[in-house]
Amino acid sequence: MNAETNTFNGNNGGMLKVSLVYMVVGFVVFLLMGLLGLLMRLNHAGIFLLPSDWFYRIMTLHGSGMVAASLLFSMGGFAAVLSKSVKLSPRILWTAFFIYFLGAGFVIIATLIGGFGAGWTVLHPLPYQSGGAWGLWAAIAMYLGYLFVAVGFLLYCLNMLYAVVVKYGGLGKALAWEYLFSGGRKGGDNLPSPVELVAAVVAIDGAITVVAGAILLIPMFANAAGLIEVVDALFAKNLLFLFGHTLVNLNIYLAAGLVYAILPVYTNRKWETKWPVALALNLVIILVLLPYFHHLYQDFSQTFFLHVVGVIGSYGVAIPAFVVTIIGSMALIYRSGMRWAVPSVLIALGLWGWTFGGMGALLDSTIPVNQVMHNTQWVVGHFHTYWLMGAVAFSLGYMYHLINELSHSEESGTSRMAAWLYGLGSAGFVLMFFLSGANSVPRRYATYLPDWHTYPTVAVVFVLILTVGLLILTLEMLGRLKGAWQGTSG
Amino acid sequence: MPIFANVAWAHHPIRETLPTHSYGHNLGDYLLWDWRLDVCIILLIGSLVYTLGWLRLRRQGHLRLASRKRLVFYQSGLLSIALALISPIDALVDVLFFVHMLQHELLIFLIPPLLLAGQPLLFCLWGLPASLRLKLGGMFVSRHPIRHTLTFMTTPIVAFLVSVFVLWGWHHPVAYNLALKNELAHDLEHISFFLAFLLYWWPLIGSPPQRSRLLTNVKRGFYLVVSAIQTALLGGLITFANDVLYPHYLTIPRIVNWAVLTDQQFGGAIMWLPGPIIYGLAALLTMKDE
Repeated sequence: MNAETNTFNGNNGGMLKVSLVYMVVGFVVFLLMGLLGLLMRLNHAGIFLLPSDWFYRIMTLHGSGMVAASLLFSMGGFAAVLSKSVKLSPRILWTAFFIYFLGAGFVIIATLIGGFGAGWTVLHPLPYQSGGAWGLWAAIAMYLGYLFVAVGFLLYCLNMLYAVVVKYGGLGKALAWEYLFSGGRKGGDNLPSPVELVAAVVAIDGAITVVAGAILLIPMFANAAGLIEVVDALFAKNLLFLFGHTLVNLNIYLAAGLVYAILPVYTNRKWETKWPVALALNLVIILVLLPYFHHLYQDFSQTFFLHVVGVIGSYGVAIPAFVVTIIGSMALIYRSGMRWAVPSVLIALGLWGWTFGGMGALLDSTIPVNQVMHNTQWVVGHFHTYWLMGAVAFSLGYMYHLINELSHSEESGTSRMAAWLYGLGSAGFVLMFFLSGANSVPRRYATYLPDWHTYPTVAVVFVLILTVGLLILTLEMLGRLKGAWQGTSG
Repeated sequence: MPIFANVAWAHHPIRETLPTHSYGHNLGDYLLWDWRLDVCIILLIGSLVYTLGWLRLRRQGHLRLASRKRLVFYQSGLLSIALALISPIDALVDVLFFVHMLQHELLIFLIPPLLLAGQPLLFCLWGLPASLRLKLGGMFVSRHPIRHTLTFMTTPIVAFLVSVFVLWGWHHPVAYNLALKNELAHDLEHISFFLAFLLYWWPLIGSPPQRSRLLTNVKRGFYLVVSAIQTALLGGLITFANDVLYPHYLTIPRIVNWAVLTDQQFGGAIMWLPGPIIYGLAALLTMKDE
């Protein structure tokens, strides 16, 4: 049997295999969706013009595909990390993968064959009232695709929650409540690790999110079948964003869990559960459900009180994220003599991406700013920053680390350079979105005025830099994948 | 805009020109069981022989092999065949496309795995008299041509390709319309669906004399995923087709208030939208906590 590594403990080979499948599939879909994104930017730059209907189809597929890919990518990495300390079921994770992957496939068929182009946010009533641009079945396929993705994610969450709860003998212990509510005086001898705490928090919020999605989809399907005539658009938007916005936020928490696993390896310092960590992650359970209201500031019929909740939630959730992961990471890195390798470079980039993306989000969640900026490319800039430079960078860093570790490979100077190219390309690419937004270039427009062409043209150059970096890392990982696979078994 | 948009067949221009005498005009005309003698005899014999073999093996002390679970799987498979071929489902397939798709789903996704999980060859052989059992059993020893053929046909790549060919082939408008107009072709369609997907599920489930050929989760996963993708693609193409693909349904009276295209879209959706449930369930039952 191979020697134990930071991830392989001699018993979790089956889990590492399914985790690798999640990560590889998530990464490949991310690359494919990235190509669609490049097509859109080429269209915006006036270099390669797409018909408008195809632009919206591609925009819809790119958005929903990226969410699904990035989430799957981080789910795989997180399951690998968690399997080192708790017993997860590969069978359940395979089942979850099938339901999730095939559900995501519906989106491809609904957009590319069915012509659906209402955006990944599928805001009611547009999906059902397309003016002939697509049929009703395309909308139903989209909604069903989302449902299955959600069910797959729910299975994944329940598997994690069950495993953590069984290990610690109860939900309260899995969330370190005794330790938390005693001010750190009791229960400190059997504390869950930060990764296990994240698992419990994400699983609870994941279940809530899926319930919100189900509450929305029941009337949507009843409406499609003609059983009910009207679904309130504001009700639908609230539940949709409670589902979608929370899901993408949980994606980042899963990816942040990977930071807890990697940084100790490269800094030679342990990341332990301290009282502020336990408090912050417990607060996240509630706070992560609130920021979505900032997407509804411009809905005049929404009560003002909920706008205020949106502001408080958006700022509130930033504090624990900042304290736990960013300050914690900085503290771990500071004077540690951290080894600069591909994973640590990507983690560092990810921390910057998360910080800047989060700042962009905070600005957008400030009501007067939101009134001006929300429908511009500013918002596109903020979520691309914390995904491309944040969540995906964390997941990519972890996958690279895992493949090298399992295949007993060493990285080269070229691959370190590729990681920096990824960072440089990503930063330039998202900067163009922010600058476009600051200059009031609208989002979700297929056709651009000639005055707006400069930003996407420059962005395309940065995408090419990003592509070179990704290509080098991809080829390197591809060559080592077989060895990594063999490294998961005895 | 509800899914089932009301399009009045009574006003359809093509209706006046059609020979409608052989078709009922009301849904009630089709809600009858068609006790086809050939199907009933085959099902009864299949059930009796299997049960006899199952009892015989239990009496010999093979309680684990002859488990109740296997009996339930097999008999449920036979009941599902009855549901697909002699219940009102079979009567309705001539007039409603979506019911035909429902029937096909039973024949390819439900019946073969249920029967295979019951290990039919083993128990049916033990249900036969000893002399016949030895004679027929000899066909499944390793050097017999029938066993060779079975081994080849249940190779995952072969089984998969056969299932794809049969599924896509019969959904070609020419083949499909032929099946609806000719009883023999229709029976051939059903038999080929059943046999092709019996082959498809065999390497995954494994049933004597052939063990499962897909020994790791990754192999099982890949096998399931590629099948799910091709089924979804076919279903998606049918659902999103702008025209009626199977003109047969334009030539008969509508017994429900749906347009032919609406019926076609619903039928196409039945083919692919339950996919994650079907394949998710298959994954749950065949994957191992290895």
